[in-house]
Amino acid sequence: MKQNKKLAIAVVIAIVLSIIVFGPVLGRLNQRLAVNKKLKQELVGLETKLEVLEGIDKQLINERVNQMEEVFPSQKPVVEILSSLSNLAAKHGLTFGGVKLRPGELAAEEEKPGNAKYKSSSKLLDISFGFEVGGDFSTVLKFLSELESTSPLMRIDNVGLTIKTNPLFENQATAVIASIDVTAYYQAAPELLGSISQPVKLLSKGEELVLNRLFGFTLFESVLPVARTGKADLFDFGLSALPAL
Amino acid sequence: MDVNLLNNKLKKTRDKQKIKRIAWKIVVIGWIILAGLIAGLSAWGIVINLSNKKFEGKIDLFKNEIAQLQEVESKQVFLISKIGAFEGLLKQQDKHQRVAEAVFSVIPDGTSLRGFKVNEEGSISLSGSVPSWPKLYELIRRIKKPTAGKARILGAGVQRISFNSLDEIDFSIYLNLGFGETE
Repeated sequence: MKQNKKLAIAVVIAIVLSIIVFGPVLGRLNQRLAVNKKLKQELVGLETKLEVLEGIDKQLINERVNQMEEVFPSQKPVVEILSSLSNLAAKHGLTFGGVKLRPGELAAEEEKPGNAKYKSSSKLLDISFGFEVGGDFSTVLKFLSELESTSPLMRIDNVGLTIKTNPLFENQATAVIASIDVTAYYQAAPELLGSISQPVKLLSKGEELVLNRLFGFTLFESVLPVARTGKADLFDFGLSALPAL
Repeated sequence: MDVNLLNNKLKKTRDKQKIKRIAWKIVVIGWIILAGLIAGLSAWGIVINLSNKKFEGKIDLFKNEIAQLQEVESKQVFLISKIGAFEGLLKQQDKHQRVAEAVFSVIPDGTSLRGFKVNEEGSISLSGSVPSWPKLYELIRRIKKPTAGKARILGAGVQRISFNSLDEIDFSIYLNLGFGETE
């Protein structure tokens, strides 16, 4: 009987011990295997991302970003629009004026609290404005056809032509004044890059073609008025350039 | 006849002892197997742990290399974030250019335009004057003739025709354009 009891106790101890010891060991092993799988996946993702990033032509991407910023800016391009329009009109020898700009708020809308409209940084925003150019009819048409390929990106909404030629002089070229309503677009740049493990999307062939069209836009340099501000050193006579005595 | 009951009892006892020995052997073998299993699983766990540490090291290395290319990444993200909207705007612009081409292709030389309005749906209203009837016929003929490769004129109508003080013919027409074919 005693032997039987000992045997039973040995079996029970074996079962209990296997439950007590095996449970945690298997649990830990399972956990480590899951972590291993996750790390492997992360490593493969990072390897791919590094390959993609190393494959990007740095010079080309710099040029594209600069051109994109000129053509499809991240901030309201009020100065750039006025500069481009006046330069384009001057290039064609047209008079330029009658600007009716509706720029809205000059402050960045995203910063305004409770403004749900602009919470998403990737939202496409626009400003509308009107202006007048004057000159002969064919030049105005050339101006109109070039306007949509001038940076920043603009869309002609409405064109009204007024004939200004004096009917008494038949030989005179048809002088017109074109009232043009235009909408320009801009879109804020993304604020966050995302986690380092997040994959980088490559550009498709179609997207590459779209980006190549960026270089077909005419750029005019916008000149901003520069005024000296702050305190000037009244006692600076250029002596700092002299050698120390 | 003598009956020996002791033999049977002895046999039973021996059998029982044999079974007990076998049972003990099974228990001991079971213990050994369990111990082996635990040792094996623990060793496997250690190997996986080491592999995880190795992976973590490699991941840190890759992350450092990626961090050095962060500028390129941010530029790529910037372009991708803008390209969708930009492509849409270019398509709209192409549509506009087709409208302009279609309109200017129907206007004969000598026509003076006074009013020209285009809306999003491709509906255009044109008003102006032509110096003579043949020019007006030419304008109407061009409107009727389909223009290949540009926005097609789906419908057109004359709203007004009158003479002005300069003996010119004033007109006001509307055109409905279709953008079915894409180049």
